[in-house]
Amino acid sequence: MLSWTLVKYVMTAALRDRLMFALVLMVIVGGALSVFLGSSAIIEPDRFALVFAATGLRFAGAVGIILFIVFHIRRAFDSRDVEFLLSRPLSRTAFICSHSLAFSLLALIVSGVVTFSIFAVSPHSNSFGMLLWAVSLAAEFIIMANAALFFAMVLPSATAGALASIGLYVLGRLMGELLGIVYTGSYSHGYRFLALSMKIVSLIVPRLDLMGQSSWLVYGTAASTVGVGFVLAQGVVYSLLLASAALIDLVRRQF
Amino acid sequence: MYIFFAVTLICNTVVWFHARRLEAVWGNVPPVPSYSGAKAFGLGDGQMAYRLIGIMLQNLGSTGAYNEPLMAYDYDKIGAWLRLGDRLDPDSNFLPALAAFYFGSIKSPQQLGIIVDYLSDVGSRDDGTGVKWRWLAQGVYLARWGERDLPKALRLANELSTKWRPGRPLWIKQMPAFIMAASGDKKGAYGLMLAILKEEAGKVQQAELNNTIFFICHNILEPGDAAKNPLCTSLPPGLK
Repeated sequence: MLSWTLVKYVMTAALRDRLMFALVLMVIVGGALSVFLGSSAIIEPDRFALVFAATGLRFAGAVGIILFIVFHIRRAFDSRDVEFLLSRPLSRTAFICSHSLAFSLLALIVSGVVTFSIFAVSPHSNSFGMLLWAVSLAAEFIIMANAALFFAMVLPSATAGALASIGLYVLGRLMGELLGIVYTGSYSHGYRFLALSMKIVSLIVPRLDLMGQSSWLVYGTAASTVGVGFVLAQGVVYSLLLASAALIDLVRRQF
Repeated sequence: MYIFFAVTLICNTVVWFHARRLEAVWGNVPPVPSYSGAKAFGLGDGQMAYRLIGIMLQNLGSTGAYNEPLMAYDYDKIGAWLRLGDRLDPDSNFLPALAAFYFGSIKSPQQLGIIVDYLSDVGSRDDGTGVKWRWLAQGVYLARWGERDLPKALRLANELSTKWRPGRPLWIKQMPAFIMAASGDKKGAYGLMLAILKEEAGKVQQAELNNTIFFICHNILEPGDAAKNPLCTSLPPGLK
């Protein structure tokens, strides 16, 4: 089911691709920029810096993971690495499971580095809020890693895969607002079909707006409707859905 | 190829001659989005949307080389932005501070009224634990000295007085008396201050009580009446 050699191969590729170097650079630049912008606020500059850093690095981290995974997979297809690997005693299931695990580990590392940098920006922020934020960030990045794997497998171009993954990410972040509009019924009759379509689409789009809320870092989780249980459940459910979809695509593929 | 490059360079220079005089134009306060629209602004993160709106409002009117005066601002829209921010994060004190100390420095009573209404709404939500009452106090101050609307100031001061709790300054409770004294209702102010004195004697610091007596003797009573009032004669020598 799993090939540890393949997992190690992907992790080595991440190192060779200077993903870690780019990550450290992103954290330093993002953190410094957030502190600079936050310090311009007339009061609560520490809260501004914290929110800017948390939101900025969250987005940058997700985009970094997506770009690395999509380009890694597409390059593997273009250089016929996939065909070579599958010609070895390695099942297609093991190929997808190993890649999914390796990318999830990478997502975990990225979320760990981002969390550490947020802690460095504001060491006095709410401790349980920070914990929930860190767990939800890890879950979100793992979901996006598997989404990027799926789109990279399904779509023939790296650009299309990256754009589709980023599109899913943005849609997931906005899903709460879109569903809010749908359920309040504040639209004309002509848009009923669109409202219904949005409800159906929301079935397979993760609710990323409920993850990584920066208000947890500022005020804690007392007023939050989301807990660790939901965050972990969503992470597991969507990651499995996306990985199994990628597996179906690879199994049906004719080389 | 070189001729083509030279032609494109000349075309670029022509465009530059047109564009170099075009500057950023002040378009006044931007239209206010809906709550959902504002949250989308922060990619679904309400706290980020609040902070972005905060920074935008703080730096509004700065168009590079030029800075617009506050009187040029559309205060109806400023009020709507402040209330939108209040929905996004009702706990933060950033926008109330910006309203009180920056937008509240406007002289026009019409424009100031919008800020006072906003501050009083924020301050009214004080639940006895935070410092939201301060924005109500700021609203009283702006209504009294900025708008010069004493009935409004008294209404807000009465509400502020209900926010007094042990540990908070006694002037919260005394605020209606200050406004009454300013509007000529010396009798009402005297009665209220006397009631507070009786109620709080022994419970608050002596300095607070001395301050109350000082206000009665110097701001409410006429000098002749003060000289005969036992309260005023009992004041320490330095406060007489």
